[in-house]
Amino acid sequence: MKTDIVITDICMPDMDGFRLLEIIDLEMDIPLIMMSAYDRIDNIMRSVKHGVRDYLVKPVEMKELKNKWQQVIRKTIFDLNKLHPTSAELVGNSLPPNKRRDKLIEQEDETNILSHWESSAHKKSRVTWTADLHKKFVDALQQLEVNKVFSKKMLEIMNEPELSRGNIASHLQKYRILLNKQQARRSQERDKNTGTNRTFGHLHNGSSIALSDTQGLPVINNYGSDPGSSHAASKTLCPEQNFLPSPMSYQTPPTMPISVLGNVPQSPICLANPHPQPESNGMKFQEISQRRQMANHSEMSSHMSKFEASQSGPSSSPPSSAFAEVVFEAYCCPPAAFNLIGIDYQMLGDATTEMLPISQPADSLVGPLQASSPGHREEKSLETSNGRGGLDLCKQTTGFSCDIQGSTIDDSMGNDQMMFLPLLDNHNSYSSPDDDISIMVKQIAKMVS
Amino acid sequence: MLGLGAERLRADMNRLLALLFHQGVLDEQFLQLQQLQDATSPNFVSEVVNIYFNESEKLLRNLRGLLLDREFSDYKKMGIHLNQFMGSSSSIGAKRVRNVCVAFRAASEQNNRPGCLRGLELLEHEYCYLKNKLHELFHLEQQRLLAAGVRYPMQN
Repeated sequence: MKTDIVITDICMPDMDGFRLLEIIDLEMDIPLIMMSAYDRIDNIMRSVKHGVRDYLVKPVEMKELKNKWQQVIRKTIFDLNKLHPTSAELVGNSLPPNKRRDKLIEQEDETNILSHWESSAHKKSRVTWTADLHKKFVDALQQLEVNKVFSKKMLEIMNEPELSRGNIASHLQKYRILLNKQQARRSQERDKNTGTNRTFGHLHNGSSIALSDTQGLPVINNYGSDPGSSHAASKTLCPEQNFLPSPMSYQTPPTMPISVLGNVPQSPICLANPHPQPESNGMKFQEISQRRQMANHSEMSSHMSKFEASQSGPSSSPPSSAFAEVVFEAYCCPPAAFNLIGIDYQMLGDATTEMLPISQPADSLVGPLQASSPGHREEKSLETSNGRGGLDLCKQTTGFSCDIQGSTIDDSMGNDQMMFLPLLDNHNSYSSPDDDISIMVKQIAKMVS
Repeated sequence: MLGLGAERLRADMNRLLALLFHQGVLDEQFLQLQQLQDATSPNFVSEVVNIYFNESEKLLRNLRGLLLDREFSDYKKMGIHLNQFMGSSSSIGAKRVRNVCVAFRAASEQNNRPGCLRGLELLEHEYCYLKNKLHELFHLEQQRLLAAGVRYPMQN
């Protein structure tokens, strides 16, 4: 099960709420609602500027919380609208007429608000992500440890005076959306074909240059089905796949231990987006990922011999399959992913041993939140993790938790990736021309070719 | 006979609650808290309140420690403690405690040490009162349950 929305406090013993916001909202793309006793406008504004989906002032009333599902829907529609205007309409149409109208209005407002934010926050002309800049971006991504891909650090590494953290964050987000789509498309193709492992074998042999260098990165692994058999033997597919992994590794919560695979010989595990429909914004990912994950377990185990996982929770499956779960689940941004955010989330290690919703300090009592989650379970966690940071994970995954620590990514990836970018263009038949990244990718393609 | 005892205790409880509401010690948020107690979480309120007590006492100790230090100057830290106290108090419906926190916080923002000292005093007083009353309430509840037999009542 996947988390659709997170409600959290600001002042927490182990981590500041804003930092959590960065991780959850910007990196994992889950809407986050903040709550606090502070009711000053400037505090609220600050939170909103940071990107919180909503701000609740304590005491939080039940009826307020009951309405928070709207936030999730709103986001869905908003995202849908960005990627596929028609499907957003469809979703909208499924609601009763009044609600639909309201939601569309909300959606518009949100778009307006967002663009207003961006323009006011940046205060300069909109940053154009040139090919150069993007290359820097990607380089920076790779330099960062997987579990530390934060826009702030990226900003430092990239060292571009005109860029702001917000620019990077939004770029990162778009990047990941693009990769999402590509993956979706590929898995769609793959689903069409029955299981020849041509491509897998192809990858496995490392016959493409990119592969041997990507040993540190997860690559699309085509177990059962083949992604686009027509491309199997061609160079084009491989590069596309290799292009994806390195950034794709960041698509998941930053702690995805791609680097861990650096030790593993040639059979990189892939981050497959099993869901074929592009408009799935992640809410549906989980079910399919779980299925995939089951299928991939056995194969993954053999590959992950050198995989190290510290124990921060019960994981009955061996580390390798734990990783597999991580790969899929994390991609769908489940609460389990929280456990990957290793060191910073020590508290999670304790509190989530049963993958229960984490309790909150007396500062923000769970009380009102009980309305939305099973009271009984919340209660238990109240006792166990007293005084810990507050998170409300509305859904939970199975008892998986794996704390992964990876080493830094091989820098050489940057070059390889660039090499194969031009070929990406052949496959990129997505119809979202307004995406900065696609445009820029094409630019790079032209540049390099 | 048992039933009568339970009924009387329940009346006592309601009377106490009404008094606390009237005095402004508690507000509707406490009612919301009670509503969250059900079959799946039968001791919800008392557990939450106990957590509140523990945390509050910690906070109060910290505040006291900060203020009584002669070289105290970290009003910001005090503000953070206060904010926490405010948040938790408001979440369980401890209205008077919360209000004192607000005043206390105002004093700390002005770096007003005597004001803060006064605030701390008031806070401790209000908190003690609240704690006693709530303990009394829970005690009545326990007795009522015993009087009503093992069968666990759901409504308050």
